[in-house]
Amino acid sequence: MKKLNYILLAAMALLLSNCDTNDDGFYNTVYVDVPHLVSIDPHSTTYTVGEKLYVNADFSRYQDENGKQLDLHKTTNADAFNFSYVIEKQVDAETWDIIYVNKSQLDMVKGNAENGSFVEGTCIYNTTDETYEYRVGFPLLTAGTYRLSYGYNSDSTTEVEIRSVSPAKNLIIKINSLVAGIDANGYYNFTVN
Amino acid sequence: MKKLFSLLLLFSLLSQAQQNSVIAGKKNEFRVDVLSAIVSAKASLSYERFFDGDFSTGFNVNFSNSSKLNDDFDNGYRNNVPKFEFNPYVRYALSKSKSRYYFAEIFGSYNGGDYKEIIRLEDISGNGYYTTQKTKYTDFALGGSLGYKMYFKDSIALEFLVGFGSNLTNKAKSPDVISRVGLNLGYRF
Repeated sequence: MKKLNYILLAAMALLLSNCDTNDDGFYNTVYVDVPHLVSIDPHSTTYTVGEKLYVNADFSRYQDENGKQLDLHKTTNADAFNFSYVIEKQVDAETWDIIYVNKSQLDMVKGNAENGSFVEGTCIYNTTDETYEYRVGFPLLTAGTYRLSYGYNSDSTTEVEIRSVSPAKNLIIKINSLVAGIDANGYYNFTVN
Repeated sequence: MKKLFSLLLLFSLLSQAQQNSVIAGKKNEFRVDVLSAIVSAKASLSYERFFDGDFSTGFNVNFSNSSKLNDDFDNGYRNNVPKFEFNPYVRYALSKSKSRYYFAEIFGSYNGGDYKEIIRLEDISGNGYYTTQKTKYTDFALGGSLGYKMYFKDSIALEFLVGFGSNLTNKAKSPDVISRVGLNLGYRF
């Protein structure tokens, strides 16, 4: 019985040791920092009901990486990059509700967007000028105090994570892009009258 | 009744001793790992040479081509995929019986496989891009195992083995851990 315990002990040690290897992880991902790839249309922080809030991204396949050019498309073979953001409306001093609209209500000028618990924006590759493009307007249907944040899929409040939609077995690029025009908590605050 | 019990016990002991003697007279054994073949698409063959007493030595060679590991490797869930191992070992029997016994072993492992890393290159226009580069790795590991072995008809061996070792010289590319788990079927002669 004692020897059986030794066998079980060894088996457990084996299982535990296998949990502590460097053999699992994500080895197809490249991380780069490129600031200001996503922006909100210049506008005062006061909108009127019926207006749309436009989020834009229009960036070249060639980006600066530590002073050297990086070809995003050649690295990933991706025809699209995704990022996400959330638009919330204030209910009371401490409560914010996520705003849902139908996809048909989004004004998709360039790229594509899906709206659920967050907006998933897709920048589509334009082969003519070799840029990834996104311009989608979100309708502001009721008056109130609103805020927009990019941190839904990342830990950072000051950056938006833009991820390549790479074909299988190709490298994935995750771009951490610093966002301008947001407060210290990562929010673009605005009102709708 | 007591006499009958004593006779049975004596017969059993004599039979056991005779069986031990028969098995101990056979010094060589070949085994194949049926568990690894089924579960891991790994061909694993072993040879063991028995000495007088409780020690034995041998080696194991295995080659693997697991489609799951290859897929994980291609999809970036791991950066290496083991392809072969050569594992010499020394064993010590922990039980007195030669027909059913626990054993402990220490083993070395010369192992290798494919390794993948992301590298940055530049095209003729000077634009940088990242790509993956596949190379081969080899490493040497040391480890230990415990197991249980039993014989049928004095020659057919069934062995369960579990153990692990740690690669030592090329951990940046090789797996940290070498596992030695198997259900072996063998023939002793």
